[in-house]
Amino acid sequence: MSAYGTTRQPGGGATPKDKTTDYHTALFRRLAWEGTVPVEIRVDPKELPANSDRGLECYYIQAPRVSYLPLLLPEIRRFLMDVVFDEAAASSLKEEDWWFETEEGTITKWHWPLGLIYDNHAISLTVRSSAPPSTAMAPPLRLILHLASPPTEKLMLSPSQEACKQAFMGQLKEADFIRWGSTKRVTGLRKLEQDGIWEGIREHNFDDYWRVASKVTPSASQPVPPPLAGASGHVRPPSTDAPSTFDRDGAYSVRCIPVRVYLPDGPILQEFVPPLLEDGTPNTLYHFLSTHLPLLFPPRPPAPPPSRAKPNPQPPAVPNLAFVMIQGVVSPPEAEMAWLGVCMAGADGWLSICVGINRT
Amino acid sequence: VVVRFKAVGNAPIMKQNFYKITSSNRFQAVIQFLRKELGWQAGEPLFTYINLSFSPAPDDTVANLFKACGTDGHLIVNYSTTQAWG
Repeated sequence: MSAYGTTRQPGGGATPKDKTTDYHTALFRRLAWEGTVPVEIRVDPKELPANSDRGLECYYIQAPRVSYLPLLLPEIRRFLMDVVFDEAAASSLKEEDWWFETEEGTITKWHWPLGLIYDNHAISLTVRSSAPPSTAMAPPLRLILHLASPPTEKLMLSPSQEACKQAFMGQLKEADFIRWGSTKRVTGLRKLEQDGIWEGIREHNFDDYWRVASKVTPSASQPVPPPLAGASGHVRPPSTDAPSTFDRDGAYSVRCIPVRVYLPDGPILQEFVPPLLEDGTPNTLYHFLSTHLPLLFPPRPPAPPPSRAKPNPQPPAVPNLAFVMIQGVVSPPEAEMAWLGVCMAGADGWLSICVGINRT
Repeated sequence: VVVRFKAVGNAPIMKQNFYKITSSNRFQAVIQFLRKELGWQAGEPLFTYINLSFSPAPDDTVANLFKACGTDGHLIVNYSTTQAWG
């Protein structure tokens, strides 16, 4: 496990606290990686070639959140060719013209990870009048597969795996740039490693992916406590500290965390997300959202001063207008942005925050 | 947002390099705009990068890219005929 926790200790064993940190980091990364979403794929009935077996036109996949639609195409095509289409139809179909859209008519993009497509769809349902009752089971994402006339303007990419890989690498570099102001960590990878990280996604292999990803993803080590006032006049370099908590490559040392906020049917927001606030405390989900989306996440007013009648006052409650979904899980407001950025981010390095509206 | 186009390698330099682009535009629109300004067809290879670093997703908005990577009040978009930082 500790191969994927990335604390770097100069010799000596890791302290028990660091081993716990490693374990949690690896645990959440593994959970995020293994997350899957149910997808139902149905060919547009109007486009089904003649002589197709209509009883079988739905295909179900429990797909990994970190995967992409172009990677699912071979499997879907195999099913359709073997089971649904007849020979004549199969030979005339051009896979590069295939494209997907949701039941509501949203075109699904090739370069969005499946987990994001699913969560984005889930939050868009929260603003539609026909809100389904919340059930314990996650409903499948129903996609309609079209076989012709792809809306290339909106799709922006071809459905090829190569285009998808390029888009993925681009996102990885952009995330690297956001974190550190340069892409040298990603571009510094050998070609074999760059190909390897994509293979890890293609083959859905956690170890292969993280073998390379651990070189570009910051470690989740805890932030440095603010320096003591009145300490000796110069700053001691990190290497002279005993098993130190300072990690130059840690999640709390980045200049900005790569985050995108998705609103239901709405714009995609990208704001400056520092790991630490001006007072040195970690930036939390609550602070970030109440700063940038104050109408949905009103900041909590401070607690009234203690009085005799109420010696331990709580701040007044604020309405719970919206919720936050990360990797399909509703996230607590006190989650730290830096930690989320290295443990709950997507495979492309980006933390996707989907905001849904609470319906009461 | 002011976009500054910088040619890389053998790519032709434009007469005018600074353009004002509406921030809500997707990067896709910037690529199309560049093609039009250069007079290139859709089939001809054109690669675009931000700050000589990475190629953004076509649906990233100009606003978001500028917020994250803008320098000196503008967004630097490099363009070339060959893949440089792919």
